Amino acid sequence: MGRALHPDWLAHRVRQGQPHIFSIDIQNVQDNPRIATCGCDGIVRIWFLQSLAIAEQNGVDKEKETGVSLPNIEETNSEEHPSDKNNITSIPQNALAASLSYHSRSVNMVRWSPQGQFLASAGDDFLVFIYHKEEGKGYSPFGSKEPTPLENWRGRKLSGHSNDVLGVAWSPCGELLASCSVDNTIIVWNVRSDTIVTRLQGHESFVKGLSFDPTGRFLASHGEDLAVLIWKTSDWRVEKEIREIFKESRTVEYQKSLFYRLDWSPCGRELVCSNCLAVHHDKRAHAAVLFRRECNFDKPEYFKTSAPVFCVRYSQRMYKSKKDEQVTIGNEAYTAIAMGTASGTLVVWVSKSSKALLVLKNACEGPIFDLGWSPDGYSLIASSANGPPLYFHFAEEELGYVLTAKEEKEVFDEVRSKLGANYENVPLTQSTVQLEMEDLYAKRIQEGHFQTHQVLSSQDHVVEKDKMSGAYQPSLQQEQHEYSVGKKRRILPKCLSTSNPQDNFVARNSNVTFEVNHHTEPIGTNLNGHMNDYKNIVAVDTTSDTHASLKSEQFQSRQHGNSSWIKEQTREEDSTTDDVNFFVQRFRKKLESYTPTLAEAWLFDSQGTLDSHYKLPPFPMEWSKHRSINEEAKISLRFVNNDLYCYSNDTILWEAALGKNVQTIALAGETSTLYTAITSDNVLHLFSIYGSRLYAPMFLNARPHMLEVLKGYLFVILVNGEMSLYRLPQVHLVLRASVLPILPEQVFEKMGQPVIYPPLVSKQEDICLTLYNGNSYLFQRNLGNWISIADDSFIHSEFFHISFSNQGEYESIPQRNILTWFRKMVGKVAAPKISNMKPSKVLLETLAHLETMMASASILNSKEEFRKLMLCYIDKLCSTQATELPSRIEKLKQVLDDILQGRDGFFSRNLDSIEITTFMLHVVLPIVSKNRQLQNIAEEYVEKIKSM
Amino acid sequence: MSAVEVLQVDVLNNPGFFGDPFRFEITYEVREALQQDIEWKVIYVGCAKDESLDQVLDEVLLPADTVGRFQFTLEVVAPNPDKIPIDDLLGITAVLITCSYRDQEFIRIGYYLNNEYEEAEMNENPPSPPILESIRRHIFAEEPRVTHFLHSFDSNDSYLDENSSHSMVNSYSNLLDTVEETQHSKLKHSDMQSSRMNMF
Repeated sequence: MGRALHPDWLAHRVRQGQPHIFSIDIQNVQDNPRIATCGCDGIVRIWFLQSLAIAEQNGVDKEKETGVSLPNIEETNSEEHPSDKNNITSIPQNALAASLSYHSRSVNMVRWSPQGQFLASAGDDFLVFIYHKEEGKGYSPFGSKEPTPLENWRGRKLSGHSNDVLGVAWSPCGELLASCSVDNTIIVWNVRSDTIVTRLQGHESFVKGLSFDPTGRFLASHGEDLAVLIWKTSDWRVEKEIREIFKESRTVEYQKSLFYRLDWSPCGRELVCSNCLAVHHDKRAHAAVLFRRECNFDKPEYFKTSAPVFCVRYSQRMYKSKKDEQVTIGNEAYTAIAMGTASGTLVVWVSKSSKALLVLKNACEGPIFDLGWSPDGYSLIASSANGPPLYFHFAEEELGYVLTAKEEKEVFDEVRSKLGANYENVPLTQSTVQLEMEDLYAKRIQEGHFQTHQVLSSQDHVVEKDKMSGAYQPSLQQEQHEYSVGKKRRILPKCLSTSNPQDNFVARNSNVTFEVNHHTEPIGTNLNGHMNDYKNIVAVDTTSDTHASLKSEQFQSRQHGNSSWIKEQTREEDSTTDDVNFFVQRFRKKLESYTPTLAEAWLFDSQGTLDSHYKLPPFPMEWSKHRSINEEAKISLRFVNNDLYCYSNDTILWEAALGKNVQTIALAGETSTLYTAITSDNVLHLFSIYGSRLYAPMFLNARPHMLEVLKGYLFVILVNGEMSLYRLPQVHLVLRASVLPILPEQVFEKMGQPVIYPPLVSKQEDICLTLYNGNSYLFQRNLGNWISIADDSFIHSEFFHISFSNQGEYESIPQRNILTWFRKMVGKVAAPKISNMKPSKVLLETLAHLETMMASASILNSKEEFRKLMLCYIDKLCSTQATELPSRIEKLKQVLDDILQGRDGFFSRNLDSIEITTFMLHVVLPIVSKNRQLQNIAEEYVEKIKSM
Repeated sequence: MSAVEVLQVDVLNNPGFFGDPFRFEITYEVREALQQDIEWKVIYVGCAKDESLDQVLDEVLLPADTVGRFQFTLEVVAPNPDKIPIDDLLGITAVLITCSYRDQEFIRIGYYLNNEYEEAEMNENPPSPPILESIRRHIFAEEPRVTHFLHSFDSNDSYLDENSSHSMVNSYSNLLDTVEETQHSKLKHSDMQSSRMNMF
């Protein structure tokens, strides 16, 4: 007994209160799938399918069950629907996942990506949006009085059409999205980069429906010009143009639909199109029409209906009639297809029968606009112009028994091999080694800890304590602050969450670089009225206590997932008083003999020109005479009447004379190490915390741009770009280099704004600088050059979404850009405690990015991170398509050889203290084994290891 | 799409006295970073039939150059009672929160509010001059009237150029019409609840 349900709360409303759902789709995930709907109100809603099942069981929608006994009764009138439609608040609890108001006009179609993590929508505002789920609170559109949604979905915009967008379709790999529009074109988007792959022009009128074939070779589109075009995805040319069959449709007057939704069967063998008129012996009948791929789409077959067909949808599953038997002759696998008509009739056919399995008249009050099948293959949902949607649940014995994953794959393989699709046949295993490795891999994945920890020595973790000192992080506003601009107040709001990387990408494209005032702690007290962003930054940074509080704030806001980090953090804060000893002990590393570098050579060669042309902004005026050193202890440096004073509150702690006729132009200090001042004759003075002169005055080449004392180091950048780093308390020159090579052209137009954030100093005393544009550079003394360690060139990398697990809970940390991620590792916690070492499904990752990340990790000596990346890299190398395999096998072999052969390779040197053979046998090779095409390689290396 | 979307407005210190400052906690989302500041305005409708008596209580600037969610509390002074006709001091009126970008409004949030003396008798025979300290203000915070106006922000979304036949702008004038009717029907408090229901 099939069961029907009309959930009238599942609705989109226009002013008259009519539920009006243009499109509906069910997410293709097994675990609690979601439904997406859209309509005239411009809102995309996401619901939980489960809530329908619950509503059905509870009989919440009383008397709306329609008994349909199958297959004898073919036509059943479903009962009248209640017309109480005004009460949107009757949405059951926990039913609504999100309510998204990104579109500003009607939304015409929603579709989930094949893997289910993204949702695309197309609207009359000419835009397409792609949504993904984020952490945080969900909001209903303000003023709508809807219940608060349970999840936080965020959208990003794809803009390219010049008129209403009527439909979207995902490619089976999930990397391409096609959208069709009233502007007669189809745009194919790359959703990884949000760029247009191609714009297809071929229809002579509106394009009203489109669908990718499940093997990924074709895209079919149906236009108002009454043509179905089948495009090849290889070169985007038209493979087949079907016009003749639809010619007659024009001759009949009937209610026109905005949509001609078409669909491919799950095996890719058949294409079914809507809105056709079958002509047979001068008799005409509305129909959906089926084309077979093996007949080159030539011989149409018709499904006749009583009214025009607006939409067709195949179940993604295949079925068999006998439950416990193999799929053979006599128990063939078959498909199921649902069709919705203009009169609201729902028809379901199964391919094994020549009669419709189910005809449900008045399934919906108005024309059926869209259909969706649940991933389990037993639920069907239909949306309509009027009245609530229909949820129909089949019993197993009615529709048939869904094939198991294995059976389904066999059927798909067979069909697809006949069709000549470039579909890989997975080769059979040739040895037991492969099977053992596969078992191991599956087991580890299942246990949820594909961890290399097991094979790491404890000593290794000590190596991981790769702390950098003086870490500076621009912060997001934690509290509201305000000041006045002219007559008006300007409020800096409290930041609740930042952008996702895609949004960030959009922002960058429109030339909006992120300004500092949102990311820094405002100054509030010590600067009245006129506010200079630069001051903010340095103010935060130099006062170590503010700094500490800043850090803890960030920990609260971003990292409450991992308590061990916070412990480390606290320890670090506690140690500030012992800073000097701490650093002396810690950085006793012998300084290598210092040689000028390429970067410096450039600086020194062209100093004359640099001074005139390449000038960084001078040290901020506001701090040249008065600077707060420690806000909590209220310690500040002040220059009054030719003398430098150190105040605690208003008490003078000490005073020092700086010389005749000079003024200070820069002040800095740290309560635990020393205080420093630069005078107008470019002389650097250093004082102990008790006011005694620590060192003879130093003469600088130019005026200062930045002067900071950062946990055991003195850091100076001059306006000509010369940067010096001194180790304290010895005042030993660690490094002198020019920052000019890393400054972009535009920086010289940014007068008065911060250009460089205060640096991080690594254990190796390499210096890491972050520029205003978010790029980070490390000065590597071994190379004598700046190297780029973080930038935004791989904005769509999934490492922007890296999640860390803690007690089974996943905490996704919103990332501004890769820089913050990097900082988290290097500046704060040395290396992330990546407890879940399972190589993630590197769907969106590129090899190039992984290589870059590994290079950075290697240089930063962040080994745990390196290993995680390496496993992802191997995983990526192994999960390649057959066509790419030969070139990647060489790369893979190179990695494996490197790991095996010793200590000096790129990979092996980052694996010290790991037991190589165990690592290979238990971690690396099981990953290789997941691709059976590589089984020879896995075997080869197992042999090698055994013979070692 | 709207580059800035209001997610939530919480009306704080409500109900309060006539002279209390208005406080709104506003949560908004920047969906596309904007080059300039957005401007929030709070307008008190002094008299429903005369727009010139609207009082702009404050205008504040907020940055919108970072994509993300933000929250701030907008606190503005109470309206100047001298500029309100004495007949309109009591009864139902409205307070509007608007947000604009490049001097063009893209969202308007309206709240009805009711000013009345605590004692019913005083409402029936209002003292002259009015005793401002005794007037209670109640904002109907659960019933915001939200009006979106299409705005191009920094982009040039082409759909805005078209003569928009189905724009989502609903009429703000309705709100004021209703206020006017209500004000002039001189309703007692007991009737007001039901009349308010009609309005929404």
